[in-house]
Amino acid sequence: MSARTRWSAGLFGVTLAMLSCSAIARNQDEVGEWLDRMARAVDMLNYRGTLVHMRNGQVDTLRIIHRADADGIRERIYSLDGQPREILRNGNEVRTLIEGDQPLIVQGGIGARLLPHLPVSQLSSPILGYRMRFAGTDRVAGMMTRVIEIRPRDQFRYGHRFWLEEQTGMLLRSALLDHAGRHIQKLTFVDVELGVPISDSELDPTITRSDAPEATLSEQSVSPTSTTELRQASWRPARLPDGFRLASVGKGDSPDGKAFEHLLFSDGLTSFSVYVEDARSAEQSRDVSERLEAMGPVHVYTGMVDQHRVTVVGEVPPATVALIAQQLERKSSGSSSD
Amino acid sequence: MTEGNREKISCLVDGELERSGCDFLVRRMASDEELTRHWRSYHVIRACMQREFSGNLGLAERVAACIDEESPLGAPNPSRAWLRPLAGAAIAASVAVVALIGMNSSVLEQNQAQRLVSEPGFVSQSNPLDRPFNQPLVPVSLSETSPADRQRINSYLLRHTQAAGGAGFTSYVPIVVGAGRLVPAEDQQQGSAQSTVAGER
Repeated sequence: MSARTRWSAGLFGVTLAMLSCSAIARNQDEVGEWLDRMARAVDMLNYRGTLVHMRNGQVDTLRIIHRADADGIRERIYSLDGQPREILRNGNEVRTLIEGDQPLIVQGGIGARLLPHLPVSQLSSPILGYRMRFAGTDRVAGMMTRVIEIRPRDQFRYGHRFWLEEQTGMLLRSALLDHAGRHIQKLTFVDVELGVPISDSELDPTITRSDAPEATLSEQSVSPTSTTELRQASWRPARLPDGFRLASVGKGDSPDGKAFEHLLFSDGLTSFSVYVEDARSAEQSRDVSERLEAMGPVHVYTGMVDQHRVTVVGEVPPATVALIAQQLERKSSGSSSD
Repeated sequence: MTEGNREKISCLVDGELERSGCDFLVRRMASDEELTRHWRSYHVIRACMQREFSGNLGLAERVAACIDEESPLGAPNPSRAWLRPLAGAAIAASVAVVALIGMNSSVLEQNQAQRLVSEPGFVSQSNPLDRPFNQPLVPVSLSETSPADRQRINSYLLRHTQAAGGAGFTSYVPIVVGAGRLVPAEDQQQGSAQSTVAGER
């Protein structure tokens, strides 16, 4: 092979690699655009529909009615089976009504949502811990959808699969996946009407228990943290799975009055929190047993590090919370943060 | 109803009312419908949150049962003191979280993962930090979570949810369907292909 031929072959190879990289980047951009459409549709469209939530053999059927107009977002979600329960959202105000033998009304804005609320600004750029791609098309609730898959690059976070309606980008089905691609939980519309007028009466609760005790969910002030404040964290994990970074640092008091430091880590899509309490008294040390607990996909690890009780909480696999706690160390004065 | 009466009912529910006060309050409840209604509300909340309520006992039987359980009377029970704020206008965030996630607590999540077919190669690359996944599950504690621990963890979970939302990150907790009660992770993971290590330092 002549030098000229070798040079041509090399140039061809480089061009192919550049085209390939460009195609991957374009694909990521397109996925990002679809996720952006999804986030807007979930918030800004009017819709009513029936949802089925499945997790480990447990099935719940729910009805959701969502309206967005000049007055803001109003939403009503209620159960169709099991114990009657409703959630009413009016802007940032949330009211939860529980019927039955144990009626209860809870006032207060809990950050949780039924449909995933994705951080659009984060998703518009590639996230280190995941690969995002289109995974074909599918039919859900009588509508054609585009399937998007977000695969974790390691076993320290969950993956996601979203089924987005072709015309509007509305989320019609979502699945949370473990590291092996197995569905941990799935939420899917079985019927849905998009872009329909929603009347005020549809958003009124059917549970009207005047005798139910009312409780107010106290808001905990957790504000975004500046870089300077991040450096003031007293603790840090010696190692973190790729892509996770310290996002906020805060302090507070636990229900039993013990001061704690709160570190929030995120990879842009998944987050977990680390709480560290001083447990130097003999009584406190005795109370701390190492344990790993689960609430669905949310895992909680409690243990002792350097005479401090450490609790790691997050919607991540159990190994992640355990690893983070085991890697935690107290920062020596003067060392820099993540 | 006066704030004092609310406080007494709360103490009765918490097992912090002395015997004479308890007897007096029970006698009053027999003829005061409003008192009875409030006592019932407080008690079912506690039962709901601690998942103790198991049947449709009549009021008199439940009062009797409640009093029988409160032994010795007059001795404060710190583990139940967290219900006290219910007498006021607000309750601790953690208490509300218990109520929210405790709704569908009967189904423990086990073994289902075994039935699911895995997709080989879903995770594209291994990592040195994957080591914990290759080690057997080490049971760390099979004892029941105490009410105090439950309260602490729920408080932390709520704060995490709020912090994750405030920082602009995803936080997806299906509060309508409930997240199930806290179970030792090894129970939930039993039968799953996924293994992990816990409690080793």
